[in-house]
Parts: sequence; C-alpha cells; structure tokens
Amino acid sequence: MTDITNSIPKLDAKDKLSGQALYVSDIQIDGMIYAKTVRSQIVKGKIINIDIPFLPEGYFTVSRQDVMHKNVVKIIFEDMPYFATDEIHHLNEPIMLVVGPDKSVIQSIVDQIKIEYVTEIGVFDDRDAPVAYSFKKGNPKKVFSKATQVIEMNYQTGLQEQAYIEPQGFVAYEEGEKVTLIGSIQCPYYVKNAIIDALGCEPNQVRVIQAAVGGAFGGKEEYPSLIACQLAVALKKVHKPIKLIFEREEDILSTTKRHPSTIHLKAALNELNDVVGLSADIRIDGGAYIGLSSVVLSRAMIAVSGAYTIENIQVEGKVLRTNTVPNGAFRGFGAPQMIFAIEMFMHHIAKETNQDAFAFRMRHLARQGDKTSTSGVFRDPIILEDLIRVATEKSKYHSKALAYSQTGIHKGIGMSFFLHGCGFTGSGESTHINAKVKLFKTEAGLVKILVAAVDMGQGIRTTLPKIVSSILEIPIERCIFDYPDTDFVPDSGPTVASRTIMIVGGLVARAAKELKETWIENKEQSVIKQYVQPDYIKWNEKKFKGDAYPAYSWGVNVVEVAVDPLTYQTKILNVVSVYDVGKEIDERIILGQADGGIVQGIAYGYLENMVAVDGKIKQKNLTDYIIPTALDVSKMSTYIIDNPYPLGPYGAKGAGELTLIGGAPAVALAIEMAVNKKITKIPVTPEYLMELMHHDD
Amino acid sequence: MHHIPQTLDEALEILNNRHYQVIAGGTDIMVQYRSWSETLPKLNKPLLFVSQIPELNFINESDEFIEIGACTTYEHLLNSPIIPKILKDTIIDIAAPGIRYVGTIGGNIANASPAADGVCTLIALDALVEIVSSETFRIEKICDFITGVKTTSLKPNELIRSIRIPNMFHEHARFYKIGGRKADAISKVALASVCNVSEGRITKWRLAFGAVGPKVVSLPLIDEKMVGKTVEELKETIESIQATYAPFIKPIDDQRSTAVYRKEVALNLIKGFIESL
Repeated sequence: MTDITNSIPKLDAKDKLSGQALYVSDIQIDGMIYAKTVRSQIVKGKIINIDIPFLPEGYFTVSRQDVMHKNVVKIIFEDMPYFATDEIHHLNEPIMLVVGPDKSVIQSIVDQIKIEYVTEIGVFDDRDAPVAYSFKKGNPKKVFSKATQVIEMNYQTGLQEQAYIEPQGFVAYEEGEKVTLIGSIQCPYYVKNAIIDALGCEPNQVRVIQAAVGGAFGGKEEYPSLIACQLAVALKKVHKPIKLIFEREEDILSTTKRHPSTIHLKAALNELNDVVGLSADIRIDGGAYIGLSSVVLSRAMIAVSGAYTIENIQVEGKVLRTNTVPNGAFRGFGAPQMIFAIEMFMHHIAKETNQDAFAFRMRHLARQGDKTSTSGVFRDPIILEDLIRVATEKSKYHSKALAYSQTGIHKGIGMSFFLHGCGFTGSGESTHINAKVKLFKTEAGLVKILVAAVDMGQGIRTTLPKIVSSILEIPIERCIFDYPDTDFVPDSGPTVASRTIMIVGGLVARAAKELKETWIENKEQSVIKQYVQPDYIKWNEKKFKGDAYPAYSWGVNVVEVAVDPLTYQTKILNVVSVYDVGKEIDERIILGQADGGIVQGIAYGYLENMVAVDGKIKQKNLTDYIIPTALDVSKMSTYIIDNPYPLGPYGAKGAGELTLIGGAPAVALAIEMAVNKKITKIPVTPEYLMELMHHDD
Repeated sequence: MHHIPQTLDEALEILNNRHYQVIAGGTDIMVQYRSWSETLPKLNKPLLFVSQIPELNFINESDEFIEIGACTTYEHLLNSPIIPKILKDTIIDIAAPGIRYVGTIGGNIANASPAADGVCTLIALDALVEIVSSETFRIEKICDFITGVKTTSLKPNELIRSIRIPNMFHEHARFYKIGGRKADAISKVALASVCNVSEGRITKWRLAFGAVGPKVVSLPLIDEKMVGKTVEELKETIESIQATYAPFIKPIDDQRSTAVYRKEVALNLIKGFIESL
C-alpha cells in the first residue's frame, strides 16, 4: 500500500476549475422569486413606525409578525432574533424581507420603506459583560505574593473579516409541508435545527442541502442559520421558491467577524527569572448578540499559556456586549487573539529581564506529561522541540536575528510557537455533538460516505474518500461523497473546530474497518459509528478543569520582514512553517491549508484593518478592507513532521485552524525587531508603526 | 437612450442635444452606479459610449508633445515605446491587469479622483488636456482642468480628445505609490517627482502629490524655487524643502488611512526622492 500522505488530484478540482460546480447563486428553480433584506439604519434605539408602500401583486414583506414559532436563532446562546424586534441593537440589523419576482421592483419597494426610530446612545465599552468566566490552575495567589518580580502588559487585537469569495446565500423551496434550503454553509444540521425551532415543526419537515461552498473560514458556521430562518418563515407565507444572496457590502456590513480583544497579562517570576505564575484578564467584544461568543471566549481562555507550561494560572474572561455587528466564528476561534498576546508577552518578559528571548521561551515549553492550562494532561508525545529545530535551521533564524539586531537595518525575524486543541472544547463532542457517521455499500459495491461534513475548500471531499478507499482497498472512484443532504446523512456535527478529519474522519475510518471485516460481495450493507469519548478524558465545564481537548496540533512559524523607514510599510521577505498535524492524509491539501492559513494569519497581524467607529464599520468592501494579494506574499516553505495520534485516522489530527494561529505573533515579533519598539497591538499598520516610531520607549 | 457613436463628430453632435453620462472603460462609472446584482446600474442620465471611437484611440509623437487619445487604455500605453517610463511605472501600480485592459487615461482624468495615480504623474509631467465640442476647441493644463473632488471644467457638450505630454527627457522621474497593499489598491498617498540636472544644478523640478487634498497637489511656484540649486544644496536642506511644501499638503482621515500618516509620508517621500538624486 502506498503512503496515504502521497497527494492525489482533489476530487472536486475539475468541477471547480471548469466552472461546472454549482454554487447557490447558480441554482435556478422554475417560478423562483427573490428576497432582499431591509436593515436598520441606526445603531441603537426603538422602531416606532414602519411605513410600507403599496405592494404590487406577487410582492410581500416578511417580518417578525409572520414568525410562526420562535423569533430567535438557535445558537449556543439564544439571544439573536432573525427579524429585529422593536429594539434595534446594531446597525444593519435585519428587520424584514421584501420578496417578489422582479429584483428592480423589490429594490424600489425597499427604497420606499420608511422606518421611524427613537435613537439611543450606543454602548461600545466594557460596561455590559453578560458572560464572565474564570478558572485557575495551581496556586496563583501564593506565587504572585512570593514573586521576585511581576511584569504586566496589555495587548489588543482588531476585527478580522473572513472575506470568503462567495457571499452568504440560500435557495429555499417547499415540497408540500416540507421546507428545503440549499445553502453556502458549514453546518447543515445547525441550519436544520434552527429552522425546526423557528417554525416549531417536526424534523422530517426540514431538509438542508449544501451547495458548493466558495470559502467559509467560520463565517458560515452560525450566521447562515439566521438567513435560513427568515427564508423558512417567508416560504410559509409566499409558498414559492425564493433565492436570497447577499451583496458583498451587505455581507461585510452585517455578518459576524473575528472578535476584537483586550488581553491584560501579568507574570510572576522567581529568582531564576522563570515564569511561575500567569494571570490573565481576557475581554472579547461579542457585538450586539452573544451567539457563540462564550465558546470563543472559552477557547481563548484555555489557550492562555500557549505552547508553554506554567504551573500557576488565574484567568478571568468576559464577553462584552456592544452595539456593533455581532462577532462570531472565524478560523482559530479565540486562539489567534490569545496566542498573539502570550507570544508577545513571553518575548517582552525576556526583554524586560534582560534574558535571551529564545532561550527563555525554550525553557518554558510544554512537554509530554505536563499539566495543561486547565490541569488536564498532555498525554501524547510533544515534538515541539523538533519543530523548532527544523524551523530555526530552515529559516536561519539565529544568524538573521543576530544580524538584524543592529540598528539602521530595518529588518526583523520573528518566531511563534503555538498549539491548537483539536475538536470541540471540553466535553462538547460527547455532550453537544455526539457525532454519527454512516457508510452505505450498494449491491454494486459503491461505498457512500454519509456525513454532514462540508467541503469548503479544505479538501474533505477528497480526504474522506481517500481514507475509505485506502482502508477498504478499493479504487477511490467507488467511494462516493456527495454534498451533504440532511435527508440522507446522519448528524456528524458541524464542519468546525479542526474536528472533521480527526473526529469525523476517525469515525469514518472505524466504520470502513468494520465494513471491510464484514464485507459481503453483491449485498447492500451499512455501518454506523457514533462518537465515544475516550474514558481518560475528564472535563468539568463549570470549573474549566480537566482535558479541554482530546488532542493538540502544534506549530512553529518564522516570518522575516523589512520595514520601510520612510513609509512605515512592512514587506514580508520569507516565511517558514513547521507543523505537527499527526499525519497528513494528503500532502498537497495540507500544504494548501498551510499556505492559506499563514497568509490569513500574517495579514491579521499587519495588513487586514477593520475598524468600527460608534458601531459603524468603516471598511465596507474589498477595496477598503485590504486582504493580501499574491504580490504581498513572499516565498513560503512548509515542513510537516509526523507524530501520529492513535485515535485519528492514520494518526491525523486537526490542521485547518492551526496554520492561521501563529502568523500574527510571528510577523509582529519580526516587525518589533525591525523597528526596535514594543508591539502590543495588531494589526501593525503603517499608521500604528509611525506612531510607535515617534515615541521613545 | 444610450448611444454608441462611431465617430468623434457623431459623439459631439449627440452631446449637443442633451446631457449624457460619458463612459469610456467604465471602471469608475460601473462602480459608482453599481446596484443589486442582476439589475441595471442606477444611472441618472443615458450613457454615451466613447471607447470605440477611432479618433480617441492613438498615441502620436512630435518634437513638442507625446499626444495620447483620451480612450487609450493603460495596457496600450504600457506596450508603447513612446510613453515615458515614469508613466509606465505609474500604470503598473494601478489596479490589476483586468482593469488596465479597459481603463483609459482620459477616463482617469475626467473622473477627477484626488487619489488618481495617472493624474498625479501627468501633472508632474506638465501635461495638457485638449477638450473639444462640436463648435469649440480648447487646451487646458490638467491641474487647472480638474477643479476639485470629482469635478472638472468639462462642459456637458464637451469631450476630452487627447492628453499632451511635453516631449522632454527627464533624468530623474519617479512615482511613489503608497497603498494598503502591493496591487489592486487605491493610494493612501502618492508622489510623482520629476527632476533634471545640468552641470550639477537643478534645471527642472516638479512634484505632484496624490490623495492629500481635494485634488492632486501641484505647487509650481514652490517647484520653481528649487531650480538653480545644486543637488548638494537640496540634500543639505531637505527639512526646509519639506517645510515649504508642508502647509499645502492637507489630507484627511478616512477608511484607508489617517491625515497625519498621509502628511508625514508625503513629506518623507520628498526626502526619499532627493536622497535618490
């Protein structure tokens, strides 16, 4: 058998390259009409009157008056109505849909709708914190009281927009009592369950089908449920197929983004200048509705000590509620904010105490058997030192760091160490998700992989069939993975949290093994496998105690930059990344994830700048919200070191999010070296650098 | 009714009858009038298409001028041996190839954006616009033709026929574009700089700053003060040269950058240019 890592052509590449893949906006249904969203024009206040013009025949408005059951989007925290109530909490909040056959007529109706408001002053600070968590490890109080030195720093991170190529959208239609939605989504069952709640109907009355997805990055995790609920309600009113596709500006101005954060860190040092205690105060801006912000906060809090072991930890975390567009899932899910802060902090502690930063950080690295931040155990081998050795050699980190430390060169090299917990946080996999997968073998010997996992570019349409074909030793052409359709696939959970290969792929691999053992030629067979939490994983959700994740992926990024002293612009000169993702199921797919992830991560650190001023997002399109082009990227070299995880398929762990997480601290540390100023905020824009360079430390 | 005239005379005749929105490559118009996908742009005037008119598509060279038809595309200019290097350097920094294949030099001027890179360089090259109507013909400096943010002296019945660039060799000519990224970006600040030196002394000096005011900032009276100085003198007095330009550079804060950044970088670029001499 050949090594599963050897790349094969992506199974959906031909469809996508030839333009044959059907995205939501490509779908046409006879008699289909269109919908457009009417949105609030104020940041906070009350609606006192809505004046709707005369509607021609065939045109309708759909609003909260039409809601049949519940006007709330089923997410973790159920506080977001899908049609605004009388109370407006953010700009561009959806108030109603206008539906009808002709888009220009719909547009003119939308333009004529007049809404009167009583405006209130928005909240944009930390006064409203509906979610507050805290946990500790060891005895932080004691070590802080005995510390020889305490160092404190404050870090800030900004908004980040997912900027998927394809905006949000659905096509919805009815078959009798049943509503069907085809969408650009990550989580078919999230959408299905949200609609069941919205309509108060039976599960068999809702069907959700995934269309080809043009990128998601977390942006299509929870947000699509809101549009789906609106359309389900609209279907029940107008009984015609409806298409709703967001425009780019509408998408940027109204959908969820990465949470801005403020992270205050405090370290207790002993007489050897080791960090013996860490205290963190983490605040993330959830925007107007909490949604899944509390889970984002949990992941940020658990990542508090990054790739290091610190024996005594105190963490406080808060989700702030402000009158801005709600923030939500984004590749990394709270970890990029925290890893930026802790990586900068470790570096800054070393500087403050006149220690070599590299040696200082190496001394604190997490090792197998150490206790995690939540007092769980790193059970599996940790090969971080190997990753660092390869990264430093390939990037010539030490010699370059020495050369660039002289003034007047304006170049820098930065290195980040990081980890990412694979799968849902805590016991989420067993208590909330309980994934189920099914393999169905036809008489003819075709094996259908029935899971709810979505290929949004990360290659699952190729890697899952590859696993099955490899275990069953049958040609990959006989392993069928169609777009998920909730009428046919069991709920294998959402396509999030770097869980798909490890958890869903692991279950698929076990099902394939069983199918192989029980294989009978010319006979229909099915195998169902359900997630079982390993016995040794113990998690106390209230106390944040125990094993927060079943496994961890690890990474090292090295970024080299030059900063122009006249324009303060940063140029990326070289990028080297080394990862432990267990085992690559397909090398080219992992390299694709690595290239895309690091570019998105580095850009988060220095380029992508989104600012909301008094609840209003200033960069409303891709002209003003700058994401990198190929010209902004340097050579990128990625190295993968195998470290198989026993419960993952062929040893595979999560990879999708990991590759984004270390980019921001690596580029920020490189810029810090180039300008010899402490960086405490991302993105490190030229405007911020100019300010920094005018200040004497 | 929209029109697609085949000759310049036909176009000018049509313009005499009523107001039209003239459209060349459409790379600004189609963005400005964009509407919900699959619906027509929200125009308030009918369109007059001009990019197909042969009399507006040419590049000529005489001893005095390089003359460019208003509807010549960026890509066409990039491929012409006559076009000065600084203009090509500028074009290479504009948008991306897709836009450069349809965007025109005349459209860039008529759109009168303060952040238009092409305009910035043309002004530094002392370029002129030739404006025609069915009855009239006039020539104006580009820096006068553009009167403010998105406004020009063009009358409803007039068209830009051509752009004339004085045919001179420039020993030092550099375009600095500072955008949010390396391609496909609107300038946060830009500087087009042109300088000739003879026997160690400056014989010509032109700076034009983009995106730092309601229109491209060109200050010929200050520029003239540099003439006659030696390169060494310039290098020794960078700060005072920056100070003479500084009061006229009045950028704003917007979604792309800040006023302080724009101003400081504009002045830093003067330093960068002088140090490169």
